[in-house]
This record gives sequence, structure tokens and C-alpha cells, in this order.
Amino acid sequence: MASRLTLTPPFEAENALETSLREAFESLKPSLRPPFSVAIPTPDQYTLLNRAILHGVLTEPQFAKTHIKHLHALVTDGYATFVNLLLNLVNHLYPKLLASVKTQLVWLTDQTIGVLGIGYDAVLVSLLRQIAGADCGDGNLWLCSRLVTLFLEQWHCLLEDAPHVLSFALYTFLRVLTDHCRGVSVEKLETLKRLEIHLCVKIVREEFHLCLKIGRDFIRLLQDLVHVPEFRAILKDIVFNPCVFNVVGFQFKDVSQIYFTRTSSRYSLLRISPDMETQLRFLLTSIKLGHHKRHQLWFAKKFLNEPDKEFVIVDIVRFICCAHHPSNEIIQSDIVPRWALIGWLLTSCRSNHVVANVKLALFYDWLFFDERVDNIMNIEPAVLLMVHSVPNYVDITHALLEFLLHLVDNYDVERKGMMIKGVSSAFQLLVRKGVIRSLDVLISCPALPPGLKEGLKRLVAGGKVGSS
Amino acid sequence: MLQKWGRDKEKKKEREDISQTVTTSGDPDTLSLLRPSLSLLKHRSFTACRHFTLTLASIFVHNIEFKRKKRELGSVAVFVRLNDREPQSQRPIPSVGVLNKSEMVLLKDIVPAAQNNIESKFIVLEKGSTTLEGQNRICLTLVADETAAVHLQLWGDECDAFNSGDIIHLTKGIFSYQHANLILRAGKRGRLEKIGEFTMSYVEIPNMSEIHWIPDPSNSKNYIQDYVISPHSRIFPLIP
Repeated sequence: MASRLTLTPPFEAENALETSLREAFESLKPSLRPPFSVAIPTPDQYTLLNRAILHGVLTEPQFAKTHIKHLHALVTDGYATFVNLLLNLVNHLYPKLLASVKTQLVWLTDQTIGVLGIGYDAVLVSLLRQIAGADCGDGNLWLCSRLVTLFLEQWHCLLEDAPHVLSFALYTFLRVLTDHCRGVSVEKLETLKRLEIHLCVKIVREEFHLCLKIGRDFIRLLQDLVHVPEFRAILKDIVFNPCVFNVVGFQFKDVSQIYFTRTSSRYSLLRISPDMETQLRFLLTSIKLGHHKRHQLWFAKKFLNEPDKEFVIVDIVRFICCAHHPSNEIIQSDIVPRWALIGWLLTSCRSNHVVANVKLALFYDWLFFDERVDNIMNIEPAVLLMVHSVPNYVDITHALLEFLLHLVDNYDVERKGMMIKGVSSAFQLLVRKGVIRSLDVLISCPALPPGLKEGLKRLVAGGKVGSS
Repeated sequence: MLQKWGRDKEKKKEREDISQTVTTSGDPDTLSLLRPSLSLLKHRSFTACRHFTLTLASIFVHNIEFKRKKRELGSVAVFVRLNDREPQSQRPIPSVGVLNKSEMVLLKDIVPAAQNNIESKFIVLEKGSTTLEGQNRICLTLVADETAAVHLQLWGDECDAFNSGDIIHLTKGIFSYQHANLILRAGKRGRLEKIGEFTMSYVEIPNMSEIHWIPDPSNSKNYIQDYVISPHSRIFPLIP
């Protein structure tokens, strides 16, 4: 009887992938010990052997090196099949894997990088996604530690072969550092923090082009770390001393170049685990408005069950705005709209710090909005939330508008003109494309204070009317 | 690693000899035919080994297929498949409400009966508190699929195993009265198994446990709906 990959509790069906790996291992067990057959396997047999070897490496650490040698001997497709199995395993089963299996899995990923197995970059990204936000439990910290070490050890290989993975790593660890640097400094976190800061600073100082790839969210993440000396220095340099960052073939002159680079949705996906993504996408594609309460409760029970977990809401809002764009068909149906979900998440935050960050995440693409580069679907949820809250939840509209005006005035005083232009063009595009019929619903809303409405009118007009 | 492929007619004949000793009938005893051939491994060429390994491999694959099909279809069906010499037995056409073999049903189609033949898939909406009935723990839950809701009773260790949001596959379940409550349960011969979480939509109206049933006047073995006691559960109220 092969040992298990997961601890399947009673009354739970065994995962299909796990079953296929275990059965392949059990059936081919004799062929997995030397001397190995030198026969060339048929395609079916090859797939089976890949499955068996994967199971063997994960459950028999004492024979792992033998299994790997066997794999090297019979591989004919650049490890594509093997790495694909590994990817599926991480995506669908990682949270449930036994600790010893997880250890072997990370070791195995290291081995696949060593042979440049086709698809290893996807496995690394998938592992990065498994780092849970706002979680300082031992298992999560272990994963952070192993991945940081792996990135530092495989630096040259990754830089040459898959630099985009380093951009993803930078985004992830900047975000994760805000969790580790928050609150009381704990002994076990110190070494990990040092390593993570070392990796992030190395990427920023030595390979700035990787930061440029991230786009405006890079600045948003850095600002959360301004209390850490290394990052304060980096921010200062970016804003006041941009020539320090020599980028080959590109003149980095001003931080606004970063502001005007839209962050790809692949980054917003990074901080959402595959489980969370499945549940969020299901909510936004298959559940009708009015029948969503229970699903929301279950989501909160699974992912937001501790006060600290609120910080994950910032990443969830960024995901909903940037990485989930429903089709017109769904928008016109009675499926739960994105603004409703964001409204629920916003109102379930208890901490003011989190609320401010969530609102920033919601409006971030507005500040430097440029029709030619940005996507209207990233700004749609914010305006719909403001407009639909007007009759019954006008305090939400009030809070959001107030925040937006405050943001434009204070986010980056030097570039206020750019931000006014960005926000006003965002409003104008939304009206032009018919997302909202007009801004009258906000400008003539009786429940909003006149000062706020004046500010909004000025903003929409591009800051030209009257003085700001 | 280089493989030498013999194109000699001699070696080709060797290959043909070996393959004839092996048949892929799916009979596990085929392996016993292979045992004399195993000694050939010591003396024959790479090509023969490879061919031998391939045939051996196809038997392994076939055995895995065999085991998988057996699980899927149930033991009886597999033997019917393999022994095509026997004629398929004629099964009586099932009458409404009485099934010889369980098939997936939607919750809107379940009918109270003394049969443990209900197979269905649903999601747990809410879980009541666990109480003691004699020696055993029981727990009432509200479950539903896209067509209807019903009260499912958990028994014993089942009470700990399932939570709201879990998607359950019930096999050989029974829908009947227990202490004047009409409930769905696994019963002694049935099984509840968690197959997923979250990704199922549902309706809470109608609730099959909140319907008054009476025997069918034309066939007293069956039940038909008489009137609706409540459109939704009275024990687990709708969330506003």
C-alpha cells in the first residue's frame, strides 16, 4: 500500500489526481527500482511512469534521488509531462499535502529548475500563490522561507531564463513583507524578514527593469513598506533620484512613467490562492444577486475568519477589479455584480487602516487613467458601487467620494495635475461608454454634502473650473 | 542512451515468437503464460526485451483499466461485459417510485419510500446542532441542489464530517419518516461522501421535507404530493 500524499479524512472522496498518481505508483512499483528497463515506453506507458515517479519522489524521500535519475533517463519531452503533473498537484492539492510531501515538492521544484524542465516557471508562480496573505502560521512561514532561499540560490538561472518569475517574486514578497513587518517583531520572523528584504532590494537595485514590468502597483506596494529603512531609501531614490536606476535601453526619468504603466492582471492573480480564485469566480459567474448571502458567509468563514485576515481584502478587491472581467452577457443578467461583492467586502472591514487600503486598491487605476493604456473594466466597479449605493447606502457613496477627492489632493502633491486629468478622463469615459448614464445621480444627490458635490464637479471638469 | 533496432529478419522472427505467447485477453492469468518467457530476458536482444516490456506494459495498463471499470460499473456489470458468451439478463421495467438500481435523481424528484436507492448530489446550506438519540449522535441539516431543498439527517461520525458549504454525493440513501419528520439520510446501507465545496448553486424553495404526502390511490406502494406545508424549511428559515 503506497503512502498517501494527503490526509483524506473519512467521508471525503479521494482527489482524482491523487488517485491517478497513487495507482500509477502502485502498478509500476517494481519498475521503479534499479536496474531500470532501457526499453522506450509507449506514450501511455510514459505518462504512467511520470505519474509513478512523481508519487515516488513525494512519498519516498529515501529513494528520491533514484527516482529522479530514472526520470532523467527516460524523459523524452523536456520534462513537460512531469512538470505539468507537478503544476496540477500544486494548484489543486497543495493546501492538503502532508508536511513531508511539501518538503519533497519544493526540493523537486528546485530539481526541475536545474534541468530547465518545460513549464517550471508556472510551478514557481503557483507556489508563490500558495503563500497565504496575512498568515504568520508555521506552515506558511516555512513556504516563504523555502521560496526566498530558492530564488536567491537560482538567481542567475532565473534571471537568464525566466526573468518574469523574478518580477512575480518581487510583487509577492513586497506584499508578504507588509504582513511580516506589521505588529510586534517576533524572533522567528527576523531571519525570514532579512532574507525577503535582501531579495527584494537585490531585484530593485540590480534589475530595475523587472520593477518597471510590474507597473503602478509596484509603487503602491512600496508605499506600504515606507517604515522599513531599505524601502524608504528606494522610494526616495525613485522619486528624487531616478537616474540611480540604470536601465538598459530605457531612460527612467520620473516616477510618473511607472504610474502610467498599467499593472497586468497576472499580478493581481498572484496574491489570490487557486481556491480563493475558484470561489470568487464562481460567485461572480453562477450565483444570482439575492441568493448570494450563504456563499458570502462560507467564503468569509474559510478565508476571512480571523481579524488579521482582513488585510487579504485589499488583494481580493484588486483581483476583482483587474483580473475578473465579466462578459456583457453576465453584466446584463442578474448574476452578482462585482460592485456588490466589493461593497460587502468594504463594509466587513473593521480596521480603518484596511478600509483606507481597500479604497486605494479600488481607485488606484483611476488616478493615472489613460484610455489608450488602461481598461475601463478596471474602473467600472468603483463608479457602479458609488452610484448603486445612492438610495439606501449613501454613506458608502459619501465615504468613497470623499476618499477620491482626498486622494487626488494628497497622494502625490507634485503630480496633482496628472491625477486630476486621470480621474476626470475616467469619469468621462464611463459616461461616454454608457456604464452610467450621467454623473447627475451623484452631483444632484440630496443626501451628499454640497462641498463634496462641488469638489466632484470641479474634478470632472478636469480641474479647470475655479481654483483647487 | 542509444537503442539498437535490429532490422534482421532473424530478430524480427524472434519478436513474433514472443508476442504470440502473450494475449491481451484481460485475464490476469495471462501473467502465468509470461513466466516461461521471463527467462528469455537473459538471452535475447534489446529489441526482444523492448517488445516484451511493451506487451507486459499493455497488460498492466489493461489491469488498471479493469480495476477502474470494476469500480465504476459495479462488480456485476464487469462480469457481464467480459463474458460475452452469457446472454444479458432481462431486467423488469421499473415502475414509478420503485427502482431496482439507484440512479442520480434531482431533489425535486425524490419521493418518500422504504427503499434505500436514492443517489443525489447537493450542497449543505446549514447545519443544526448535534443531539443524542439514545447512544447515537444525530444532526439535522438543510441541503439543496438547483431544483429543491430537503432536510438531511447526519448520524454518528457523519455529524463531524460535514459543514455548510460542502458538496455531498449520496448513494443508496433513503427518504422516509423518522419520528414524524420526513428526512433524507444515508441509512445503514447508504453512504455520504464529500466531493467538493462551494461551487454549486441552489434553491431553498420547494423543500421536499415540508410537503404532505399521501399514498397514490392507483398504486398504494407509491406516494404522491398532497399539499405544501411550507414553501421553505420551517426549521432553517430563509436568510433575508
